[in-house]
Amino acid sequence: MAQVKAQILETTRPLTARESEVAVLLSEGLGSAEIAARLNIAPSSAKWYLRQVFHKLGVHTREDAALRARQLALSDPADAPVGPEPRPPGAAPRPLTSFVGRERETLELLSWLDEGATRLLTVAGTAGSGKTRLALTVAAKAGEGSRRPVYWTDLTATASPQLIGSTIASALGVFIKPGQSETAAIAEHIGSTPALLVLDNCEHMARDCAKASVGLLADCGALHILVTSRVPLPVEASRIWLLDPLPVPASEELPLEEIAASESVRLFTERASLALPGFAVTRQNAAAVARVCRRLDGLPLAIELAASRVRLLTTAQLAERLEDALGLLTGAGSVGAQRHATLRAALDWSHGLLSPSGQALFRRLSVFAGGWALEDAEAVCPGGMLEPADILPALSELVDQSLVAVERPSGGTRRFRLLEVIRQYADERLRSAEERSLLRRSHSARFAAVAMEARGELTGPKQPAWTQRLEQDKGNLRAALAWGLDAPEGLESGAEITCTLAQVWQLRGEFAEGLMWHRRYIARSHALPRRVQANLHESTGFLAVHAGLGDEARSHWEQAAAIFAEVDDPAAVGRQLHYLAHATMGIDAPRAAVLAARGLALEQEAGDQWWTSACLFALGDASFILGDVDKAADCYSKSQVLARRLGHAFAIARRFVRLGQVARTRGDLEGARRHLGESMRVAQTGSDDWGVTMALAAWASMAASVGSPRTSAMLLGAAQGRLDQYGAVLWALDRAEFARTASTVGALLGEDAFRGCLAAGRTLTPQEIDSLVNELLEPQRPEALAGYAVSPAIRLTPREAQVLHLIAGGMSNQSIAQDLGLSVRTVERHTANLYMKIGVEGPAARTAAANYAFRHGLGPEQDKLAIPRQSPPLRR
Amino acid sequence: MTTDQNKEVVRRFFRAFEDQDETAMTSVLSPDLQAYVHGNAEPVDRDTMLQAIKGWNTVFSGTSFTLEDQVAEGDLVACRVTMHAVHSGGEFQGIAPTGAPITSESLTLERVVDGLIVERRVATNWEDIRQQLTAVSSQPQAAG
Repeated sequence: MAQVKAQILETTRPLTARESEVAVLLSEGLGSAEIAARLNIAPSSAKWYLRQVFHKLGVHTREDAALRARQLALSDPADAPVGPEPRPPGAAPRPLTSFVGRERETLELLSWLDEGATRLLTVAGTAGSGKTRLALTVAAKAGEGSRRPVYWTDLTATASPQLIGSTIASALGVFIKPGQSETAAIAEHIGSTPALLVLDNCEHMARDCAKASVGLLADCGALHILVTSRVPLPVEASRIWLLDPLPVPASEELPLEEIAASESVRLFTERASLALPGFAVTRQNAAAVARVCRRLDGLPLAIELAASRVRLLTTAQLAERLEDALGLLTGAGSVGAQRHATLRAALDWSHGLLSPSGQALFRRLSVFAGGWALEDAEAVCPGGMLEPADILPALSELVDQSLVAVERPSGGTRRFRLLEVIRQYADERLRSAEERSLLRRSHSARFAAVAMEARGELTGPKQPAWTQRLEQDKGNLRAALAWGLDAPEGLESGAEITCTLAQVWQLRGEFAEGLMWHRRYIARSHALPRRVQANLHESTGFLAVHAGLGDEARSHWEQAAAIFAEVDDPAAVGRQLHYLAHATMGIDAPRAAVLAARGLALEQEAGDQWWTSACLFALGDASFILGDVDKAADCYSKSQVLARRLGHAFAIARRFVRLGQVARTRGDLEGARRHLGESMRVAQTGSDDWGVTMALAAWASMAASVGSPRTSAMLLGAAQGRLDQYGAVLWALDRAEFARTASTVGALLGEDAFRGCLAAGRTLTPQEIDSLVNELLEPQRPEALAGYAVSPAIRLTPREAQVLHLIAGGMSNQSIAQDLGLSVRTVERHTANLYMKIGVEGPAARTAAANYAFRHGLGPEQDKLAIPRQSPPLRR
Repeated sequence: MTTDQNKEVVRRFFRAFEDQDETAMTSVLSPDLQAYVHGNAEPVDRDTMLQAIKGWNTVFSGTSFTLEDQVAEGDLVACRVTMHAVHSGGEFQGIAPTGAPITSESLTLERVVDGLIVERRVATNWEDIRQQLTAVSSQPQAAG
């Protein structure tokens, strides 16, 4: 009920709270006396409220008002218990009208699903023959009782063949990892279990849809793909299934029962009774209904258009007028051409009967790609004779006339759409009225505004709702982006949409699409204000680095920094330097330190606390990698103070990770436990997946330091599992530490045991991970060192310490000799001496020595930070 | 005029074609236009080309152009452009309309002088378009 009210309140001439209550009761079929009783108001007041509601809904009778309210979903009692649950990704849309006939076809298609021979099938037929509705019915039945997952993708609004893969992926809610192909990501999602994928409206890209389908079928052994298209897919492997229009009565003279049983007549009757409750085929009207259906070739869409007129015309009048409208059609051409001509004539006829404002709205709605919400139409379509307040009544008229389809609400918003063939017809009208340019401009402005609004919300608590909204408006956003590239006046708002959506593309892994739009806008950017150019470079860098294209990212940030410097925005320059520092960290730490320090100076000067904290963090990382642990500690502490002041939970968790790593490196295991414990707690509370992953990797090193190599390897596995799931790579510092820890515990456990632990770690539940970490929070006897007596008084020479450290890194004497530029004999002597000093011997001496090494802060993870190596063993 | 401005002139032409806005088309086409289209060796003048576009729009609806590539040098602008349209309004090379969509890629070369297109050369694969339409209209028409 709350949702019902909210929707009423969003209309142009808003209903008051009382009027909303009245409208809801009205739509439930109550009369004015009953409404008065229910609301406890005087009957005359109820009547007065009713008049207000009629006026605002643009209707004159109670019947119309109730109908309108129901059709526009101002009230939909049947939906109420369901609530605004979002549709799961890939679920088929649910039309409001029922499906009539086609029993045989439905059964045939369902039995095809149980065959293994040809797993690709095209339902082909002329526009308006009911392909989509049939596919929807098959999809619903195929998924009944969860017999198999059914995925639905509408390709209508996808104009570019490169976007087929990402459209399917996003309809299914599949995250594409950087570097992964869309087909591979979708195939991974679907797997080898029996499933049905429906690709609706493929005709405009038949060749490319064929290619995509063949690829998916090869990867998913039990997948069936059902395609709807006006033209068959041009592949051998596709079965073509031609859908004829509905059977019509063989003659108008047949007995009533036979006429009424014909599928086309059943459809006519069903749709007519929506417009005129109680409509039925009778002895009086049977011949006329049969004539209408025959004249319309049994084309479902044409029949729906005609049936919606029965409120004003008797069936005899309807048949007569259709005769006139269709009379000019010749019988020339193929069957397909005849059906096409029939449908065109039916559309012309239906359109001709619309009110002037209905016609205006109708053609203007063609500017939407993939549907719209009422507020979108109200923002985009007014102009000339069409006032904002006319939109709702005009939309009602189009819904009444079956020209606009209403979808069941998903996620709280009712959406409308034009069937593709009707949209194409409306688009022709829009072009002839010379309004297309104008409408595309206001459409683009509307979706630029939607994107802007989303930008603020995407990091907040409403993020899921906004992500869904942007997903629903994907076609519209793409249309606005395409228009911005075409029209000089749209370039700037298009560029701003592009920058705004960067985060959405990144969140969904749609790097290919995001980078495509960014590159296209950058190619046109000479005509843009410098600041917008810089923003474009900044967000391109953001997408590129997440897509694993480091070089491209750096080049864009450098350009952004140059432009921001030119327009005198030092804080923005500092931000780019911060990005550059992070992106340079893994390849050139000294340079990263310089960049971070310069960024820090700019941000401090500008007084931006957040970016100051970020630059301090980057400078800390660079210093840590360069072995200046004190400086790193200082940077992280200062950075943490600012993060706490700003209350940014993500940042706080990550700084705790670093403080923990610093403490461990300094041998302060107690401090390390405390900081890492905090990092895990804050990250988990804030649902910060990345923070948890970083903390797990740090805990793995901690486990190694306290002599629990098995736990360490399992935590490494857990962290790696999470990284693989997101297709992410750890930051440079964590990556290097990960590699060092892995080589240490690998050497300790032996290859097989190490691999086993890694694999086990991947399958740990969050609870199991928690308990592993909790054990580490308590100081305990290290598992591998039990039994060895160790004396802190033992003094190793610097060379011996160095050799020990390399032994702990898993190196052979031969490679140690190479590394240090010594002979193997010399290394063997050092080894023998240090074995003796630390008291290990026998066949397990080497392993025991490694154990000793990291217990005493001589393990590779502790001091390699201080000794830059030529090629650190990075594990990506 | 810079090459960027010349490119913009050509984009305006495609947009005006899409919008069926004859005034806008005239504003970027020189009165002395020479258009080499349909593989003809002899050029046609502006009015003939506008007439041909009008004719195209009665046969095909929803024509849209996606500019895949655009390069410019001197007064020349070259485009690789993908066209989408629906065969809905009239006969094309003897084929009655069925509402089938077509997709076609063209290469165009425009010479732009003082903000006006003075010369235009278009290479389109007409045979491919014809085949796309033939494939549809010769489909057998039985269900199942």
